[in-house]
Amino acid sequence: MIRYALVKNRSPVHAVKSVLEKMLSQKLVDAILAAARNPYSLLPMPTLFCDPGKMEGIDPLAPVAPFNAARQAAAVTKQPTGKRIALVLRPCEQRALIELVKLKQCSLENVILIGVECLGRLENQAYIQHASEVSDFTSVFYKNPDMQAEVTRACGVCEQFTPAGVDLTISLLGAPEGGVGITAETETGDTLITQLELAVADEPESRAAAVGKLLQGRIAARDALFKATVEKINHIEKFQELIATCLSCHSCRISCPVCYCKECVFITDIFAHPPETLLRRAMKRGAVKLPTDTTMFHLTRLAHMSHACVGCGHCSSVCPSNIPVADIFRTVAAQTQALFDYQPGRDISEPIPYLVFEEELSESSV
Amino acid sequence: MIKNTKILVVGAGISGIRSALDLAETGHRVCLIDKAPAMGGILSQLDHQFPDNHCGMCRMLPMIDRDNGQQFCLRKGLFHENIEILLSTEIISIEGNAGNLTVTISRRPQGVDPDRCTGCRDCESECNIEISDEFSAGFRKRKAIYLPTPHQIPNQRVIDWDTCSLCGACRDACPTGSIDLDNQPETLVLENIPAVIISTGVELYDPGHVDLYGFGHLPNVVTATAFERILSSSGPYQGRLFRPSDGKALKKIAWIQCVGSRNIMIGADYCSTACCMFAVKEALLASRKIGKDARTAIFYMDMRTFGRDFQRYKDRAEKDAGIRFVRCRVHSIEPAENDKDILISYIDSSGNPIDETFDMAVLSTGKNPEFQLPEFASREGVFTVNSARGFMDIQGAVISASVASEKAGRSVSKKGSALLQQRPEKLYFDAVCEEKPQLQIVLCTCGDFLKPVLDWDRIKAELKNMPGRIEIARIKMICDQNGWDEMIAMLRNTTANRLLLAACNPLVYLPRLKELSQETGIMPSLMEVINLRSMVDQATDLAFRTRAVLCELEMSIRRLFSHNPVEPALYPVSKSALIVGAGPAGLTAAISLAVRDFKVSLVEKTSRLGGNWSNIQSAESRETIRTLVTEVENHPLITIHSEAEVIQSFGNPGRFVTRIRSNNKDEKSLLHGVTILATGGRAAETTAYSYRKNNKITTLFELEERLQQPDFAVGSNATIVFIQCVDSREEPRNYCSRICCLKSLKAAITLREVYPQSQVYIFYRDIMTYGNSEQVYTQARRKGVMFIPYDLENKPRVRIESGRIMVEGSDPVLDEPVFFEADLVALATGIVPNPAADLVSIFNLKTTCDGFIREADSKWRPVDTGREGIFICGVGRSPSRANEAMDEGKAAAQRALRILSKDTMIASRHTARVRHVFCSLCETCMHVCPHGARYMDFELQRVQVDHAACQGCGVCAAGCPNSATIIESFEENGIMGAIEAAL
Amino acid sequence: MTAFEPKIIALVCNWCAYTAADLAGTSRLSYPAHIRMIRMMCTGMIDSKYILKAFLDGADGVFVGGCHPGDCHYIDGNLKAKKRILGTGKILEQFGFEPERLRLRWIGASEGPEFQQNMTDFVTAIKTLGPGQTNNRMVL
Repeated sequence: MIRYALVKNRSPVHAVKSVLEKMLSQKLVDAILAAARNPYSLLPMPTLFCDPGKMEGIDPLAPVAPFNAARQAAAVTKQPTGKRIALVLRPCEQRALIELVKLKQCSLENVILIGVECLGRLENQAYIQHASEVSDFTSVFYKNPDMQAEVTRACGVCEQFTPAGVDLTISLLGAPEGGVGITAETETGDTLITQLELAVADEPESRAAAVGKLLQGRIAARDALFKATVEKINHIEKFQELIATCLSCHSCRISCPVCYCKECVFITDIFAHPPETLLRRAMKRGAVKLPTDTTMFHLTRLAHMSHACVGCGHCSSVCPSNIPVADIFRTVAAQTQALFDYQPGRDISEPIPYLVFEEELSESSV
Repeated sequence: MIKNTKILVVGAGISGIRSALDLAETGHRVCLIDKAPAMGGILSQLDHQFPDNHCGMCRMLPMIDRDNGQQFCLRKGLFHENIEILLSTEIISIEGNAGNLTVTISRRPQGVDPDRCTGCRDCESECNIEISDEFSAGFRKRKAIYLPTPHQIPNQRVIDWDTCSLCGACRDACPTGSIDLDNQPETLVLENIPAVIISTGVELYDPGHVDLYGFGHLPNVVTATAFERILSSSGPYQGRLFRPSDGKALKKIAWIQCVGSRNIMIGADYCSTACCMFAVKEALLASRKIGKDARTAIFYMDMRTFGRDFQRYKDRAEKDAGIRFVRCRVHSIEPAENDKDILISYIDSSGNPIDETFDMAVLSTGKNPEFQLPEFASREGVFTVNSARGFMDIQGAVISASVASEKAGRSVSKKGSALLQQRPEKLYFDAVCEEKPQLQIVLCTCGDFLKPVLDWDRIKAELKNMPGRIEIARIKMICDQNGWDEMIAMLRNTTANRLLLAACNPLVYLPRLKELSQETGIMPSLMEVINLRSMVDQATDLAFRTRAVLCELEMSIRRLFSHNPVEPALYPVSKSALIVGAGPAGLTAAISLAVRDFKVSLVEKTSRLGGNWSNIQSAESRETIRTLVTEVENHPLITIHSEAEVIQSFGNPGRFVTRIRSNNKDEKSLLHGVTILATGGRAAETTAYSYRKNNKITTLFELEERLQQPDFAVGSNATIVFIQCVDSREEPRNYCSRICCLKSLKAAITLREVYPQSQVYIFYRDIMTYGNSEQVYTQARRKGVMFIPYDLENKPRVRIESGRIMVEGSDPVLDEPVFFEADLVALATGIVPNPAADLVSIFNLKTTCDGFIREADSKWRPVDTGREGIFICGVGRSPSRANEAMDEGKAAAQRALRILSKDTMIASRHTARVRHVFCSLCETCMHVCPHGARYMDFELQRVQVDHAACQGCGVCAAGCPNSATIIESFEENGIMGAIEAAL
Repeated sequence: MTAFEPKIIALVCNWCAYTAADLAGTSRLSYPAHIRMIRMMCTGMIDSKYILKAFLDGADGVFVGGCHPGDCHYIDGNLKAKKRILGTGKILEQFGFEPERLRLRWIGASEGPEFQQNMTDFVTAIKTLGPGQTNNRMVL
């Protein structure tokens, strides 16, 4: 059974803050990882809190994320510490984290997952601009549909804005002014609601409608994006044009939360061609662009990780050449994920496609 | 006279290969002979084998020290450093004493010198003698000079002296002078032979002797072996199912079982064991090929699906493939109206005579009753594989071959014959990694053949543009000894550390690379062979051909330059074994290892040794087990841990650490090199047929015990009913327990002997008296035991009416109900494996759906598990009779000896390597590894490769996204370089 | 204009498909010379990079030949390959490479004629499709 609790305060930001502070001060958890501003920047960064008194800048609802925090979440859960840690994450971060768990990069033992319903994030510069103009920009954002339209393209097509498979969900859609909903999906979450003495209520009637409406719009936008992107990549020549300005900086892969390799294969010896090889390539073809293997890099990354792509869009956000990497990934990922009937981050027990094989020996080939 | 310390293995079929490899892998030298001019025996004619329709013969090849043998398809032949192979060779006599035999062999020359033959076939075209080809079961003709099998290596032809007219046409046609028409057999006397293993296989029955089958005069009546050739894509019709007489596409095919078997009239009071499954397999393959129009029927007496997986296989054949199983005895096979068709007359199960027309009849021929082993097979020091006594399936043949090698090895070790010293192999040459890669290409010009067909100037010029330091040399013919020597002389003088051999068939050269390495100092893993000759044959014009050759050269160059061998860590082998389970299988394995001076820890969960021995009826087996128990208890090298269980185990082949708990409290760690699981089984429980509702309804096991009690009595006119296959051979326990039929028959015979006035009925589905146990069935029939067949739709019913036991069934022949008041009902409930879930998870193994521990491969590696160093035998693996379980124990011990006989585990080439600096510890590689050859080293926080278990398949590397795992000689940059070079 | 001579890479497993190729060779069953064969120990070791690399470097087709399911020397490497190839093919398809250009077939060790047939069929299929997307250019 799902329990819904309503927390009201001056603003949603304060409501969330009050709950998280209480969690720490009541020692329900030993630490909380959540986005927070620090004195040096307006940009909230994932921050690991142990002292409830230090939670001034905490703002997991802020419509910005400098990067997908799954990696930071994995960093604090890589090995068991014996401490109970709450991770406050957006849905795309939490789904990426589930993939990282499957890839043995971290463990959810003794971890409480708190998912934040996310209407999308702004690009970092846009957010800083807005946040420097108004105080409590977060609350302003949630009231202002025009602002919400400014979210990144990846967020604009994201249909998984509501967390799933977490202990607690912090939701805004349908919540009354100044309040947030807190939903428990698991027994752990349920216990927490009781321990935190949150006011259990019926889920507001308006919530389902608000979620449905947003979802409909997102799906339409997503399908339009798929259609447009297919047109841009459905021939290798077109794709070449699309990535012509790629600098091979690998920022997309560095920002990718599920690209978990310590070092990308493209910076290992496998692709470190000796001069003789480069010359041989030039000799055979007459001319060769340097650095080489750019297309290979993007296609390989798709082959390696598209089944696990959570659509967070950070690859596009970080691209210095404004290549729509996320559009390409989401479009291709839709195909590979459908092929294997796989949804990344859906369920921790759902095995990675490349780790399960037919047992039944059919003679069919490809 | 040749002094010899080689163990002689006679017969190079599957059993002979298994025995030879068993011994070779444990450090013996072996000489493997066969009277045929090619290896493989009957298996070389079969592409698919039951019970899974797959091949997998290559899984018999060594998995430890792979570099001593070949790494390619076993159909091509067997290559192993410790095995010498003599074909067209027969034994004339064996003299002397055990451990020191003198064997006289006669070897017929093959007529063609393999060192000179280029396989051009000119000889064959010139030969004017044509006879029917045995390999194709007579569907093709061959010449007197011919290829005995299409796939063997080297693939030079041989002369069949029995048909050759010595006209000399072939000799004159041979461009390389490789043919010698001197056909005088060479007689060799081998002295000091420590042991001989006879694995000659059995002769198959020739159905031409019996008119009833029409074999020999009806072209569409063929033997099962001949039908294999029709099925084969290398067969007479390229695998399409045509019939020999008129080329008509086959649709309706009948298999006739027990041809030459189970026939007292011809002296064949035995079952040939494998033919039922053989027929099911052929019918399945045929049905698959024919498609929906297939109409296949098997005419049988009992469908002997006694193997663990056989019943389900047969059920699938019946239900999914629609194969019709007709229980009857065929009384005639005649030409039909359209005299190409076959008319089969039989009496169906209801007693009606039926004539049915088929496109073809396949005769399931078994062992020839006239076949006898040579007299010397019974000599001391000569060990005969069971598959040379009776026809056997692959699993049986492989196990019995290992039993023979165990016996031979044991007798040799008793005589103190030294094993081959483990040579400290110099696989890795220290300096190579630091040296700058330099490549020597050796191009074989195949005599003068390649000179005019390639643009040599262009090749020379292009090679200059290829990356790396490359030298090139041309040699006229490296396949002949002069060319080979010339190459070696040249390579000794070069500074190159990599070698590319561009010649012809690489499979011919791969087994010789190690030898070449010892001669030249170039590491075998830095050598590559490519097939220049076939490229030249395929392409049509000079430019295209030259381009193809350049592509292939560059591909290999790129790969060779990417190789960067690193010496893997080796570790010492712990010379001791852990055996879990002290039943017949476990005890036998313990003795087998202890007598070879290896320490054994025997863990048994109960307080006594012997397993189910109290259930064993055969006095002989009981005595054997009793002796075994005493022997084990008194052996100084065997430590018995009774009332003990395994609680944890980790490690690699050669060094496992296992924790055991005794008496529910004391814990102990054991260090051991191998593990043998012999966890056994027990009687299955049942609630069927009113069991336990009346004390006259017992299980077969209980009846056996009662029969031994002095106070056992039934009335002299008693009616005794046995019901076979209780809860067995149907889901969920859909397997045959192998022991019940024989037990019921023996009990029935005893009862008839003690109470001649009694009525003894056996309700059965199929009597599973395979092999010589058929004689017990014959005897029971003679003793007047009545047999009533039933099927699953028509099971007998047992009712209790006011204390009286009523058994009701139906007689299929009379199609009438039969009804008895029984004084005793015995239920053959069969056996189930002991629960092994815990052990299986501790050792990371798998079970079948019935809970038996699954072997690595039911045919080729029946006593291995998926993890190297862990072996499995007895009822825990599969239902078996006591003598079979003991055989499996020996076979498992023999497999274990491969590891225990080594001082150090030596890694083979082409194994995986983790580059820890890149590894992200995602464990994907561990998950996909088919051999469990990877483990997490928690201390170092590293994924480690067990180089002994790793077979170099590379699934790990393909799964590793950033090439943290690489496979030696298959480095990714090399392969991508090759792809680049190819385009 | 010269006739289209397709460039084809065949990645074949050491145990079955390669043995079949060898048997085809020794039985003098000829197949088109457009095929550049690379022997792998197992199809399971075929990295998706190899297939991508081949197509990006200008291959008109990639053929993968493995053992029949159940025959794999390494138990199920061929089935692991099948999944990987399915995934890689799906990705290539998004970039306009026709799925028909990547073909996986099971060929048993004694199936020399099948090897020949498969090679001939594949070359014919590729010739019918015409030059590949990269059209013999190296896409980098």
